[in-house]
Amino acid sequence: MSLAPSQNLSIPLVVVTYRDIYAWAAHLDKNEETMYDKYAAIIRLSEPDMKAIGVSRGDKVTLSNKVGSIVVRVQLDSKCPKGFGFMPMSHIPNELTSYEAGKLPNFKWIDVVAKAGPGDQKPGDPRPE
Amino acid sequence: MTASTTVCTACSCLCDDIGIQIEDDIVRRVENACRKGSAFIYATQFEKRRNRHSIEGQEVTLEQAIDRAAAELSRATHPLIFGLDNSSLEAQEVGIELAKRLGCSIDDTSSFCQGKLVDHILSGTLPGCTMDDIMSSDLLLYWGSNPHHSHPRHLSKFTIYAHRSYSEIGATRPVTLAAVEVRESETAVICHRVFRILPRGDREFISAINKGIDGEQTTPEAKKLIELFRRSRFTVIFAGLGLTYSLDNDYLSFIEMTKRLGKWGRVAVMPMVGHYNMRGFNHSLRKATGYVNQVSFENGVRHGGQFSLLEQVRNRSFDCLMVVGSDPLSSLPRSVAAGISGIPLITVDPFKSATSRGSTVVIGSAVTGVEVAGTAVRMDGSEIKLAPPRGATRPGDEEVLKRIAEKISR
Repeated sequence: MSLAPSQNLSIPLVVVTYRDIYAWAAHLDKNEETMYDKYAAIIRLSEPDMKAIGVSRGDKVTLSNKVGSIVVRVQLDSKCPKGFGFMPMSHIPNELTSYEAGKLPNFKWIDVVAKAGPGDQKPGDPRPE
Repeated sequence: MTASTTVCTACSCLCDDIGIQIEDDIVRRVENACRKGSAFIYATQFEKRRNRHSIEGQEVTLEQAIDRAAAELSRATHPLIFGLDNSSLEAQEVGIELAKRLGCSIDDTSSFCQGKLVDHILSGTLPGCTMDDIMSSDLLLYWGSNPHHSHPRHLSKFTIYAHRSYSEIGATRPVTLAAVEVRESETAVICHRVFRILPRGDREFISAINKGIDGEQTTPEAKKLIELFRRSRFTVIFAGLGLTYSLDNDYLSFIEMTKRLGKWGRVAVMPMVGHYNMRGFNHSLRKATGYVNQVSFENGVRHGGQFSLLEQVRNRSFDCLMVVGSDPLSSLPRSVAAGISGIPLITVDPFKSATSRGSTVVIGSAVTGVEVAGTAVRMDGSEIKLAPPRGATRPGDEEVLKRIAEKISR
């Protein structure tokens, strides 16, 4: 059960992407879209950060920054440092990544604001304007 | 039922012991492959996932698709060829020749991942080694890489669990397995020593190591890793994307570290390359031009960041893009990928992708290694021959590129 989703609390997070074999294999699956939802549209958060935004395992969170916004499901990562979140590399976090001339894209350091919900959004979809 | 052994082209481990049983041209069983390899090999027969030849979303014949691709490339003033990391060396050479003939730019994924690292190894700035060399190492250090997910058989085929002969010690080789990681990855869990750093903490950690080696005051974690290095005769550092992105492709301090470590023993660096022949592309382009990526053949050979896909998209400096075996619309920041829209896009790829779905012309090619033969370069720089277990109903990248080149009108 969610701790306090109605409070609509938000926190700053740095999202770091990593290679995930299940998300990779899902893009080759017969039922690609469903599999992607399951394996790629997730974020691993620390317990203090989950408490701060009032979510529990499996709840949805919205991650937003100046370039985009996505909805993903939360997984608990007890070893995740506070203030960071880990997401599998896929097109989903790329809704939030950006690129500055002369640098590499920020796949491993994506500044976002995270908040609980919304409950009716499909994980993986960019949040409608 | 026929059984054969083949090389898996799902990643740059290029595992050469994959057993495949085929009946009526259908893969019935895959042996020895990891989750990634088996998903890849079985996916080759999911027609739903395969590209069909098309122009503006309408299915066409191969000939029509090739004609239109050649027409778009001929018409363009500044075309760009991107990808070829999932193509054989033979196809890469044809692609590079095509770029020369068109006087256009050519770039690949290594441009925004490990190209610079491979370049340092090829130029000798960083020491490399082969998979065979690993057998004489005594410290295996995965730095910013988690092979359990990126290269699942890396540990069992080439490093900690790879035995040349029976050992009474048990299932693992008598070496130290260590990791420098930002998260508790599956690899970190099985390591003898783990050095946890914060994201983007690599440069600071390397600096602390360099200070410690020079006898200056340093951090306790750096001291522990230095002690491991000091005790080792041969250290292999498996450099992953975590290290690459943290250093933002500036390997100066890392190079300095490997030089300093040389006083205690041999040190080698191996890039944990993702695409099965990305290193092959770097070798091929370097052989042809002296550069591993970001090359333009307009007015001779020129090289620089301005010829990278990312910069060209940002500046809208190309007027036709041909993508071979890559999916930039999915793998690049959405804000960058959006810049490709409105430009004629040609995709040559066996599988459907965001890029093929957004393409003007799609040519559904055969899967190299599974359906067509060729040669590829493994992550350690060794050339591996690919012998396909199945026949192809589509042309391979090499054939597609040759046929496009034949029809180019300049």
